[in-house]
Amino acid sequence: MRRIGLLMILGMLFITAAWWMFLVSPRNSRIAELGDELVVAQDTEQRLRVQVRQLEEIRDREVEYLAALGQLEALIPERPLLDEFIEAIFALTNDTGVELQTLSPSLPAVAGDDTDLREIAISAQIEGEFFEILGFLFGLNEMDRLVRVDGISASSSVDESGVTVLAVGVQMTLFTLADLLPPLDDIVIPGDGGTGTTTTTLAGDAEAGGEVSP
Amino acid sequence: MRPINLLPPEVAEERSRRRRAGLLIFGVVAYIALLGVGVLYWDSRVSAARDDVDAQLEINQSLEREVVALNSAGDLQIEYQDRSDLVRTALATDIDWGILLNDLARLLPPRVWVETFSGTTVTETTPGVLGQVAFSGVGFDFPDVSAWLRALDSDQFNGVTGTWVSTVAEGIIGDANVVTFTSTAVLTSAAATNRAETLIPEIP
Repeated sequence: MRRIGLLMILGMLFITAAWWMFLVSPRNSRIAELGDELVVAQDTEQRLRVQVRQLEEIRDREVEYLAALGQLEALIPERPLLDEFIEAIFALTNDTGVELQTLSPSLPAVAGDDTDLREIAISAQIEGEFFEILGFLFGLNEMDRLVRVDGISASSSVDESGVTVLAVGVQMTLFTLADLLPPLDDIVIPGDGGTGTTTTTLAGDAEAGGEVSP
Repeated sequence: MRPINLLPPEVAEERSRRRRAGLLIFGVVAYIALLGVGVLYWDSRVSAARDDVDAQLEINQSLEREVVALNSAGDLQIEYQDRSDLVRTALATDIDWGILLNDLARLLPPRVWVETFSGTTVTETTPGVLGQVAFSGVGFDFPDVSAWLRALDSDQFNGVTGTWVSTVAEGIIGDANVVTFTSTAVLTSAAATNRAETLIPEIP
C-alpha cells in the first residue's frame, strides 16, 4: 500500500513536471514575447507621438517655411536668371558709383559630385574710387541673389584730376539648380510631332557650351 | 456509550477499501482539474498580453495615419533643409573681400602705399587656408617694408597670415627715392564670412 502511495506521488510529480514543461512553459514564453512586443510598440508610440508633434509644429509654421523657401529660392533660383542678375548688378554699379566696363558670364557648370548646385562663373571689370569699390563689394554680399566673390585683382592709377582710381577685376560665382538647356527628354524637335525616334546628343557638357544637335 | 458493530470484519474492510478508492479517484480528478484550471489561467494571461499588444498596435496605426496625413509638412521641412544646405555649400569658401580691403586701408603703414592687389580663394588643400593675396607696393625706404610686414602680420588684421616680401628694389618717383616691393600672404578661415548663417532664414 505504501509502495502504491509512493508511486502515485512520483507519478503526480512527473505529470506536474510534464504539465509545466509542455503546457505552461510555452505560454510563459509567449507572454514574454508579447511583453517584448508591447515594449517595442510603446517605444514606437512615443516616437510617433514626437514625430506627429514635430510635424504639427511645422504645419503650424507653414507660412514661415514657405516664406523662408521663397528667400532661399531667390538666393539660388531654379533657373540661371542671368537677365535679372545683369539688371541687379547694373543697378548696384549705379548706386555705388563704380563704372561697369565688362561682364563675362560663363555657362552653368555642375558644382561637384552629388549636388544639384550649378555654378555660373562671372568675371567683371569695374572702375572707381576706393570707397566706391568697397561699396560695390559690400553690395554684392547684400544682393537678393547669392553672389560669391572668388577673386579680386586691383590696380591703382591717377586720373587727370589727380584722383586715385582703381581698376578692379572681380571673379564672382552665381548659383542655380538647372543647366542652361532643358533635359533631353523635354526637348521637342519641330516637325517631329512627338512620334518616332530621334537621337539627340549634347556636344560636350554644360561647361563646353551644351550645344544641341539632332 | 461505546458503539457495538455486529457486522463481520470483511464488510468493514470492504467499506474502508471503497472509501480509499473513492478518495483516490476524487484526488486524481481534483488534481487534473487543478492542472486544467492552471492552463486556463495561463491562457487568460496570454490572451490579456495579446490584447494589450493589439490595442497598442491600433494606437500606433492611428498615429501612423496622422503622420501620413502630415507628410506634406515634413516635405516642406526637408526642402527647407536641402535648400539651406545648398547655401552653406555655396558659401563654404566665401571670403569677405570688402572687409579685407577695408582693413588693409586702415592698417596700411603711413609711408607705404599699394599699387596692385590680387586675391583668390583656393581649394582648401592646407587646413585653414582659404586663399592667397599678392601685392605690389611702394615705400620710401627699406624700413617701410618692415613696417608693412609687421602691419599685415599684426593681430589687428584678421584672416591674414604668412606675409612675405619676395622682392624689394630701389627706385625713383619724380625726385623722390623710393623702394618698390612685391608681397604675398595667406588668407585663413578667419577671413571667411558667416553669410550662410545670416542669409538662411531662421525658423524658430
